[in-house]
Amino acid sequence: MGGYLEKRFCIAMLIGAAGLAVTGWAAPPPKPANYTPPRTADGQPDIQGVWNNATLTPLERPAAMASKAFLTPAEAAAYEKQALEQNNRDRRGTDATSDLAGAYNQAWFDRGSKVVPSLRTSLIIDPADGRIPYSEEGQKRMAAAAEYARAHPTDGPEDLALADRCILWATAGPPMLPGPYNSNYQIFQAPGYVAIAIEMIHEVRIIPLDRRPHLPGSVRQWLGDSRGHWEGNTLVVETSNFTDKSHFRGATANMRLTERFTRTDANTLTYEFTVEDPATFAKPWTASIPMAKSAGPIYEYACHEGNYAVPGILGGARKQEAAAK
Amino acid sequence: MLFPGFSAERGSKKRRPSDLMNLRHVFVGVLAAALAVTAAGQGLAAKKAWTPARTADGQPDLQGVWTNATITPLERPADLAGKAYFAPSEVAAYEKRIVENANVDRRRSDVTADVGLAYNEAWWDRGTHVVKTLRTSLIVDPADGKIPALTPDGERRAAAVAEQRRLHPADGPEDRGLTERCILWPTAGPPMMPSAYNNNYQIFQGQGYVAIMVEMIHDVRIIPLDGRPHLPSGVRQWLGDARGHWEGNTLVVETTNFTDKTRFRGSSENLRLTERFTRTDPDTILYEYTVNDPATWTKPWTAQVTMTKSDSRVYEYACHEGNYGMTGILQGARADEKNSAKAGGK
Amino acid sequence: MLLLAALPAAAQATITRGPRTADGKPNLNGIWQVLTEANWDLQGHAAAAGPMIPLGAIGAMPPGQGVVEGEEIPYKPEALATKKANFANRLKLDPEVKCYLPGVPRATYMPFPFQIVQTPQFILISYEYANAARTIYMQDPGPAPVDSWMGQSVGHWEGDTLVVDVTGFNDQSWFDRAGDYHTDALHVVERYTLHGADSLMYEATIEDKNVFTRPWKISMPIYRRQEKNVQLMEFKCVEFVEELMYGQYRKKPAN
Repeated sequence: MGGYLEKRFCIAMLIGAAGLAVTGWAAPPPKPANYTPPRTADGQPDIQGVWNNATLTPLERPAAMASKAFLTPAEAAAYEKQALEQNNRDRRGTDATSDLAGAYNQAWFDRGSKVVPSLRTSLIIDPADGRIPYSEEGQKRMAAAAEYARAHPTDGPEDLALADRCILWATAGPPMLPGPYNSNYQIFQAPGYVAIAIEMIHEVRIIPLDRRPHLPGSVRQWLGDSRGHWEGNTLVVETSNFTDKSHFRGATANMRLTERFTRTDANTLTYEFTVEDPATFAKPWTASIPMAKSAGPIYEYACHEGNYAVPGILGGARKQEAAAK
Repeated sequence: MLFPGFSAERGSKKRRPSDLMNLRHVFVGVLAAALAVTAAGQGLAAKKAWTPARTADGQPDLQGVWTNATITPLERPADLAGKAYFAPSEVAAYEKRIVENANVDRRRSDVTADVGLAYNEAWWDRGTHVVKTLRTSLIVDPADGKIPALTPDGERRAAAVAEQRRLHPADGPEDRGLTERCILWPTAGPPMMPSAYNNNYQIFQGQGYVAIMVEMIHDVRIIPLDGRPHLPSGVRQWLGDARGHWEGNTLVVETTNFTDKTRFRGSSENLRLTERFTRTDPDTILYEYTVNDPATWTKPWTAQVTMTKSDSRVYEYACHEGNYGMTGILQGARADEKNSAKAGGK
Repeated sequence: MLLLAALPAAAQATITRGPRTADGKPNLNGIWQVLTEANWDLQGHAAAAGPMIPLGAIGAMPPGQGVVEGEEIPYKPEALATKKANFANRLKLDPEVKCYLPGVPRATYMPFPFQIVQTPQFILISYEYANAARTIYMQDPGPAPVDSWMGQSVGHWEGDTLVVDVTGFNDQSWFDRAGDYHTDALHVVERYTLHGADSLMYEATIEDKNVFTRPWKISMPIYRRQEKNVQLMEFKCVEFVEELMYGQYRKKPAN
């Protein structure tokens, strides 16, 4: 998904402008001062409500923007306009295959209509180049995985994307990244817990705040195992115990994730996460995504119950093989 | 209820035959009136009524390990027809004869008999004594000590089962008896009848419950005393569903909800069983049961077994876990079929 | 790495077990699980062999005294025939086999825990089974905008009882493994009442004019899971049913 957005962004920028001022990485715009969130009954800063994190800003800075950390407001507006037009254009061709593959316009997606308010050219804020700092080992593993995927695109369900299998969506992660649609979350707080209900795919992360230890190391979970605590007005969530199948951006089961949630104004929840996995990344890296208050509601996304895609993809592949014989 | 000739010390009380006849008629008459039980004896003068101790929650105490092994058969043997009781003087000789006969070496020269008849009393625990009541049968009603006649439906079912067994002795495990399948033993029933060995029970009593742990096959009957209704009639169980209450010093247990596979002596799933437990002295529980199954027998019938205190323990009988019998029987049957098929030139 | 202003860590958060929440309502927060065999069969039933011989006693059905008031579910005659056909074909038809969402009230009595997170405006119930979840709206949002597996739940307090009105069901879920089913006319009203500190009394009234001759009720206690540091874990069963559902499409079938 990241690659797709990158293409859009890149094209827009190439069309859009020459002679943009190149700015190095700068500190992000200062947060609004003196916003104090209300408190829940048990004294937690209140981050409850329905939130949405859709955005046109990609996770990684596109290659074409290599040393441009921030857009100007004019560039941002132009980009947003361009992106929407691109996403909504009629790509349908004359033959059946392209007619089918290109038939989805903006009606089918909800990728957002804005870049992040900071106008940064990537969600990644560290390292400075806005790109994931893969180690050599990590790159090798990714390449091997990509090679395997090329050679075995549809042998069985395990070869398909987790989203297609209706097992895990990028919006759930963790970390919780915007997805092609339904990037919606509802947060509930009760004494000693923060619960994040994630529309895709009806996940609920229930985060205890009582400093209990993590699950045993032998227990591995798709969404890992989270423990939270408050530091001032910031909820800090540490997650470990990932499986070796979650593969967030190529990470291994030893990935450790730290997320920080801060309500920076009435309608914004600033979500920042740091990923550590020495087997994959040369150093930890951090991204920041604003989550905007949304009217909601969260709908039920009964993905698996309506999964025609997997039988279609696999059955189709088998038919193609048979026809080729 | 106390019974003629009944005593913890066998043979210490002498009864004249006429006394016995009178008392027996009284006893049968009371049964026919459907079992109004009183704690005191029915006109039995000589023996002092014994009162059991009480448990912490006030139940008459039946607790302990008990055995119901006895050489007295369920039905009166033909050669004792008309004789309801042994005289105390007859008992020792009778017991000696029965026990010696059971222990005779029946092994012959052929292999089949050598295996089939090789079990002497070392392998069994069929008891060495008649019941303490000195009756000649466990059945006390009807008066002839025999199970009443079957109804036509009961006969039909019995015939069907017998035919099935004849034609299909070992097609599969369902053709074998419940003991061979390690599903249910006669000592568990209910009713709880003495059997080949391990005729052992341990009774526990607690707040509002009586629990009977049956050694064969580690079945526990947990009987609530709070008057709750039976399970729904759609729910059927091998041991049925028991509900108990105290009438004086007698525990009365009503059991319904049997399956149609339990088949106690051919009973149907509509069997209603009433059991009565009365501890008549420190070492004896009188266990009486009445079988009520109009679909199978033309009238109800009642039997009594005396349970004797045991100083042993109940052991674990891991029947299924060691069930070589079933595998052997079925494999043997399949081998027999193959052999006879070969012999028949098929 | 960006650091926010370093503030002293908050004091260790405690999970309040008090009987009332801060807004004065019965405190239903916690992790709960039923002990009944209702998921096998809502009605009273003896034990029985299971449908998969290789599972032996592991797949066998345990007995249950039943949770239906009046013992029998009041099916219309033609609907009873459907229920029986469902049972006969349950390996193919029971949505639980395929790890589909359990619906309401079945989610309550699945053999898995669930967690209640209670706030004044919403009560979230997160089920360990298939990470099913439902949000109970404590302010009526109006009719359900679309039918769903778990329905739309609207709650209010009647004294100390949480009453939850659930509508907007599709016709896809079952009530148990015995083939008890409904249509999209299903309407469920649940009642949750605290019973001492560590159990809830649960009732659900079920009506569906297409299937039953009248509304009927189930009831059962729900017990608090009290292990130290107890939490929901993942039961993401989609992965476990892929071979079942898609194995025939594998390039190299498993056997």
